[in-house]
Amino acid sequence: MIARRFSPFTRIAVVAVLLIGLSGCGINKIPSLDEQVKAKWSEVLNQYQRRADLIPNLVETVKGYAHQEEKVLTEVTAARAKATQMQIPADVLSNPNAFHQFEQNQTELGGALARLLAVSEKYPDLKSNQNFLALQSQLEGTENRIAVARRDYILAVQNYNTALRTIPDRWTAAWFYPDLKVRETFTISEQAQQVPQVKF
Amino acid sequence: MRSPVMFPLPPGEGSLIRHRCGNSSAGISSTSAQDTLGEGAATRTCGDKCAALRFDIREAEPSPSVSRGWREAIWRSAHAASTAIRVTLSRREREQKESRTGPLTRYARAASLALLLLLAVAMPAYASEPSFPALTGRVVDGAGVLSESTKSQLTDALKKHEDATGDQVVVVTLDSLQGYTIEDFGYQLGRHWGIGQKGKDNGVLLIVAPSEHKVRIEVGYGLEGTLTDAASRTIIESDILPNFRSDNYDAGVIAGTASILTALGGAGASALSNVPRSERPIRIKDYRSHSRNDVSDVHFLLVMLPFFINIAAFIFLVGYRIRQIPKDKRHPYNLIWGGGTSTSGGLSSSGFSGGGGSFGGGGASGSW
Repeated sequence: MIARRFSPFTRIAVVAVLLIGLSGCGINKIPSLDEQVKAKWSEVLNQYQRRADLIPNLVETVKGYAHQEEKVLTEVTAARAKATQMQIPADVLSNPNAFHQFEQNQTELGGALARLLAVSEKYPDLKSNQNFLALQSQLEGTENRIAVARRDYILAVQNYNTALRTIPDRWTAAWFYPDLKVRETFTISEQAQQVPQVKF
Repeated sequence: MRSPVMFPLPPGEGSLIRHRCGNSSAGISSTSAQDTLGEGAATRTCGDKCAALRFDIREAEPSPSVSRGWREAIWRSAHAASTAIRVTLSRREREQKESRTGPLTRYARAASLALLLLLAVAMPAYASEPSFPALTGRVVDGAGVLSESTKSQLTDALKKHEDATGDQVVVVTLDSLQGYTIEDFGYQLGRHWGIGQKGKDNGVLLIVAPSEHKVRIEVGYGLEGTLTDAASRTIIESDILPNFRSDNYDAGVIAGTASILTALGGAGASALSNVPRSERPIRIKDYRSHSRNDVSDVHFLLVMLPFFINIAAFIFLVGYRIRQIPKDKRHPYNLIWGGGTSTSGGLSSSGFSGGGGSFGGGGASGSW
């Protein structure tokens, strides 16, 4: 009989090990990490959209004072169009090409914006314009929010990818969620590493 | 003959460990200074054990995308674990010679290898973060630049505001930003403290870093529409920075807080309006900047300590309880819960704590 062969301690130890093993194997963990990644990605998209929404207003304001800076203004408008018109495929998070295209577009827009704000420094009237100051601080705040959203996304992806690639969760994933793939994460491109050139 | 594996150790550790593995008569030769149990440079035979160790340590090596902070931490843990294994093995082997307890040795090896694996798996939880000051009240004067009367007036006004609106506003001065930008530090501090109500995220931080000459208004998600980036910037430019430029931190913080409370539209601002603007000249302390390596060392210990204490306490508790309970009453239920005295009551609070709000980088910064 089992009761004779194993003491209560042995039995409770076996049950405890099984319970810990079940909760530790990530049967709920992997889907919730996946959802976290999706939520953080939505936040990233949301903040990029917020930046794109601020740009037309900024371009109009700058145009009023510095219409001769046509090249920079066109650049910003073109970069914004490229970034917002990109069709983002549904599997963008596990599709390296689409993901890097998205990131490339947003980086270009960021660079063009930085150049626009840099040339604005040349126009004292523009700099003291209340509308411009408000837009400028909103843009700064949005860039900061983008940085935070990206950081949160990177952390979420790190947790998710780690779970997907380390034991024991990788066994659970392979067994129960074979369609889940490792997610892409942001890299700092060479262009973003270069400080924008300011020429006077 | 396989090639020897060299482990780069974190800087500051003078000792070098070299593991050599052969095919038939593999050996671990150790020149570690920590191996006090060994007689001189101990050389022991090992077979698959050494290969397993190599495997584990290779597994523990993080991918290149991993940040440097916990790469170092992993090396440290791998180093500590391998030392522990070697120490255990040497002790076990001596015991084995004396009393021939073969299976025990194998268990010890398995347990220490499992511990190493566990450490490697548990490591990603340790990410590099700044070390945050404790939330001691609504005004946390870590840099020591505010006068007592300023602190008490701010505390009263902020409390009044929270009672009226539920918004949590906290003023914090920092000794150092620890190498982070104030934007980077600010939102993490806000999240760490959980300023604002959970779900509403209605918290605001006024952060002053005198040694870096930076100031920031960090606005929680829920208040970004009320205290906009542009409004925050105006408050910093017109109320705070002019006072800070003349080294009058009290006046700057009071004027800034009053404007924040006014923008948030609650009570409390009136409590600050009749405060004399310059109370005393401020002496600027000789700030020393911390090096981030020192911080991460302490951090690593702090992160790992509760983990080890928990394990030790659990083992001790279970062992103690087993001995306490008479043999015929040793039921599993009694083991954990039965007959013990329960401790209750949390940490004593200072009457203020964060409500669990979150931050997303809203607000504005300035420097002087």
